[in-house]
Amino acid sequence: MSGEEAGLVRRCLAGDEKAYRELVERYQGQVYSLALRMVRRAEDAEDLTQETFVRMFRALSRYDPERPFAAWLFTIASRLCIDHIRRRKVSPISLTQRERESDEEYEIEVEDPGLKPDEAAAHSEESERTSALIESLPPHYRIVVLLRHVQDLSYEEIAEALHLPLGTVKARIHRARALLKLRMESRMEGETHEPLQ
Amino acid sequence: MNRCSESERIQDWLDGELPSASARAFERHLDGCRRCEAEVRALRALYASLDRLPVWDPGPRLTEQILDRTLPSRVRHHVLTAIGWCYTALSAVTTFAFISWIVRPATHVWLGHVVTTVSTRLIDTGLFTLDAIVALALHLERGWGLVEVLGGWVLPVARALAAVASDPWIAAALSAAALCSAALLWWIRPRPAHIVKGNRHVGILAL
Repeated sequence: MSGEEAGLVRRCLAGDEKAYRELVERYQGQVYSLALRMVRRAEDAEDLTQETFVRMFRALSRYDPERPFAAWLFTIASRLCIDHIRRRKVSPISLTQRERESDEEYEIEVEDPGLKPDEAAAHSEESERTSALIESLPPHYRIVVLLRHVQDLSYEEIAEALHLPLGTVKARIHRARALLKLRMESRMEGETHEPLQ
Repeated sequence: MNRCSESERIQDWLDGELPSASARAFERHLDGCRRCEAEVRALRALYASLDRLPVWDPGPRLTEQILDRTLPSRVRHHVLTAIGWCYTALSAVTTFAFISWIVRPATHVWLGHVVTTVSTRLIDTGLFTLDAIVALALHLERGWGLVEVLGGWVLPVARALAAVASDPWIAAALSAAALCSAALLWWIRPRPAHIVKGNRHVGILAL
């Protein structure tokens, strides 16, 4: 943890309300982006972001300063997102596919992304394409890719955050990237990617 | 396009996870394998796209919502507001229930009965107390003889003490003893804490 973050945490524990605001403003964008990419509904992402910070502040006195603060915060956010996805009652078109060259079965859930037109328009075309590709991944692949590439967590931190063996995390990241690469190539070749077939 | 058997190592190589000897061996393989080279290019493009994903700013509204739920002062304020509203609601319900109850005809009858009973009991209690006081006064009037007997016992002792104290030396000694006792009591009186030459003095009686 950087000295600045350690100072912020200490000030929060001492009840300094300016430090609370600084901590929220520094990380809310990243937590919100992670949640939005996971749950794909702006309202749900806002709720999850709020809940993440509420739990983080409640647990702050038990925080181990030896750990990177961001990794700890994203651990809370990731678990909340996964729980939310498990609990959420949606009517996705679910298919169970056996991944090529893999024994692991996974479920693809397809639903309306839920992003508002003005939100989507704000993103560049490339980001939209990449975001759409990530959203097409099953949740357990999506979360590891986001934590690795967007939140910049190490494999070990992801394993700790998701309570998974390191080997499983690596395997999932590799498979997720392979899937993304295939779909990206399909799009570039002008083919319509149809994950439901 | 068929995959090269070495392609399994591409991601480890890109992540820097391969041991140096394996990495060098893979790099030699990469120089001559067009399929792996193409896959590396595609994965690098994917990594770059992923790394360029934007962070969305949810805006100050969400910041305030988060702070509303986390800042100790705002949480206290919310709790107090909630208690205030609960108290107001409870008071309103109680007042409404009381008014509804008191305007019922049956309530009037019941209240009349209660008021009559309570009034009767109060008057009875007052009369009993008055009787008791009068009886006590009458007994005291008859009891002055007891006071005289007690005086008969105490008076000789008092006279003897007065005779002894009439001697000037004894009177002076008794006065000095009384003054010393008074001074001692004055010194050990309870008083506010203060520092006397580095010691905290609070008076013996306050200990």
